[in-house]
Amino acid sequence: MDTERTSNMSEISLQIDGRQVAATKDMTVLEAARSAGIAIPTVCHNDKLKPFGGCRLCIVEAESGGRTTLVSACTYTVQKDLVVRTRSKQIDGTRKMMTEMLLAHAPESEVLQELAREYQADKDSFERQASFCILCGLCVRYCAEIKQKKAVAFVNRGHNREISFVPDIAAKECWDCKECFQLCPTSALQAAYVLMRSLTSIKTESGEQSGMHSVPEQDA
Amino acid sequence: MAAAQDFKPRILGFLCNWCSYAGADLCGVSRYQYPPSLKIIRVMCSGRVDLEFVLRALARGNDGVFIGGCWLGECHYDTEGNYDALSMMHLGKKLLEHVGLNPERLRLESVSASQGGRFAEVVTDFTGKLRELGPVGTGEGMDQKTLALKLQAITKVIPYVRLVEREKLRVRFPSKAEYEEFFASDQLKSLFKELIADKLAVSQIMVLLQDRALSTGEIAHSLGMSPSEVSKHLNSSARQRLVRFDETEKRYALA
Repeated sequence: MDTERTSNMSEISLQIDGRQVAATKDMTVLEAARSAGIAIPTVCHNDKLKPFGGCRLCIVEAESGGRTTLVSACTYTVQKDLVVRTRSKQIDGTRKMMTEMLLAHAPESEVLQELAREYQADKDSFERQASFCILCGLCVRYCAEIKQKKAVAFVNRGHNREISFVPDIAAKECWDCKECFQLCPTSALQAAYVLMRSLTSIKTESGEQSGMHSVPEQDA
Repeated sequence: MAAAQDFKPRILGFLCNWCSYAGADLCGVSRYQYPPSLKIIRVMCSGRVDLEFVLRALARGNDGVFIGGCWLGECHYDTEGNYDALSMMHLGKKLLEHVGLNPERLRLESVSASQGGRFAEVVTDFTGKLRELGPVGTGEGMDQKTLALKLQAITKVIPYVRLVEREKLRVRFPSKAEYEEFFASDQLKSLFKELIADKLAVSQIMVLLQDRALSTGEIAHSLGMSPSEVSKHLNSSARQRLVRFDETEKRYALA
């Protein structure tokens, strides 16, 4: 990230939780806060990837020109004389609600359980959802931005939106990579992969042969 | 079920080493009589029995699968595998029922090492039940090819089902009645429908398309689904590039 850049021209000073923090002009509030050692919780954020603003857990209060708004720290760029508060009653309430909504999808996720402890979120406050993907997009973005393969993608829209592997690309690329697996805060990604692999496997005389890759598994 | 009078069911039994297997042993030693329909595989714990074992047993022509484990609370391991076996059995029944097989072909019973008599009773009862149901597949009015297809379709989604089970359906209740209640609940029905039923339908379609390209109507007819349902699954599968529409043949084929 650009935190080490020390060109005086683009230095911006802003206030986060009452502390003066120096930042450069294309930094986000999240980057500025983290460079000053101020913690803001995130789920969909990854330093290697472009900001996504999907999970809304990094929500903070930004005050400029006498107006206070709730913004997502990971997508909001710093401004001169901006006053940011990372904890308040309203913020904590919002984060609690966000965590509860995500927990309705993935009650077993460790990342979410940790947040639930911090914000006293109750995992049963919303009806359990069938899908256990929280649509953080980490896998999709990692594959597109870092690996540039686009083997996993979002399909459908709205409440039908889900992640899905693209069989013909995944067949070539995924077997040796699987770098996105460890990014997934739930096991939805693994489930999507396993499902696609078993659906595309073809039954042969000698047993199941997966269409996903030419190398048989150890146990095959 | 119009089963032939001389139909002799074949049952594959998975028996826990500590309880049911010893129970079966005692049953023999005590000379209790039961029908010679059961072939036994000894496992260290009923929790070792995977859904895939059940499906393979049925695919190899067994008419029923029997799992014998310890009574709840009496598993010989700290992990208490007999509770897992109970969950697995309920889930297995759901899957079998969903593709049109009689869920009663899978049975789990608790038989302790001292219950030789009970073992004979349980096997006699299960054999009688299967005699009523008739041979696997035929008893449900399926031909052998359809049966093989349905079982293969379930087997394909088993790795996925395991993950879903771990994430969404892992429960532990102190009594069998509570398991029954949970697996009959509306909550489970909707989870099953959204997470597994649709994938199972897609799996059946994919297995069917392995042989040749087919039209929506032909698929619907073969699988006993409505054409609109098939069409819905084909659309979503086409979007995920699992199947494709062959323009020249006017048929759906595997991608």
